[in-house]
Amino acid sequence: MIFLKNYKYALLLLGVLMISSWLIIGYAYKKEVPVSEKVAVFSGEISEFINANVAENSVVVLKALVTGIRGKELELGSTISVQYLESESESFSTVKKGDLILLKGIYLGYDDLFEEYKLINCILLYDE
Amino acid sequence: MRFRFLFYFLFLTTLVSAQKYATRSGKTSFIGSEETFEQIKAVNNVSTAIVDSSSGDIAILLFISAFDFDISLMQEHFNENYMDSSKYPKATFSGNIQNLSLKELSDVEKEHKILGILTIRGIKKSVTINCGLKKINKGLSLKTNFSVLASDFDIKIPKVVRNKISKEINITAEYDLFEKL
Repeated sequence: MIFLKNYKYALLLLGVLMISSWLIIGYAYKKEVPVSEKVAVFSGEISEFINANVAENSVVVLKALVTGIRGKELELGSTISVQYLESESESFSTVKKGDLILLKGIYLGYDDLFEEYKLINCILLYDE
Repeated sequence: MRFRFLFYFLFLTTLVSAQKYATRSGKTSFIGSEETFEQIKAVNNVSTAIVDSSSGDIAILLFISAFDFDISLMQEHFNENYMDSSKYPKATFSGNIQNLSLKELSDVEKEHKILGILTIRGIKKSVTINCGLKKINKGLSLKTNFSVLASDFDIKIPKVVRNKISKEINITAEYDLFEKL
């Protein structure tokens, strides 16, 4: 009888251990939320963005004119540098200088070297 | 006629020698642990750098939060607990590449010494780095590997993880810099 009781406790303990390990591993290895699913803290045009004093490392949505294309980087309104993920290359390949685009990305901060605002991990959105 | 030629020659020579080379997508990576089950390593693919080829001056800027880890929880801890990236969002390096001469560079990597100041978490530290420089199509390639002590930049490592995190952080940088117009 005692053996059976101990056996039940051991099973319960093992179950608790397995569930907690599964939760811990799930928490430690959780995937980063992609930019497309993150909530933007700012949405608007360049002039508003510059005056809005947006916090660094936050997600923004910008509508702006493409003023330059440098390989896999875009320049918006001559003040913003845009870099996108390799997986977005195809959608960005159709963008030309002079296009008005809507994009979502992570605002890293102001780059003192190039004197421009830096956006990374950008994705193209389609204006409706 | 001869003076005009000399003038143009000197003007063009000055223009060419004052060329600046730059990148917005430099690769900077680091390894902060021994070979463990989950190695602490990250890469920043959006480092910016400018080299003035006439003086050898070099400036590098990178955003701490742009370091990408395989495990997002590790990235969160790195930014919040170790680097305090909301308070110190950038790391910078400004220095001088000793004896830089574009004429002497070729497509074969040549060793150079860089003297400069590395600023991490607002703390400045003088460093001497060895780097390899070579010419690439319309640009320069710079590669370097060096180590810094976490304690030099007041990066506190808790006792619990002290045996997993190295005191010495190994940094690698690979920049392809192109003519800046």
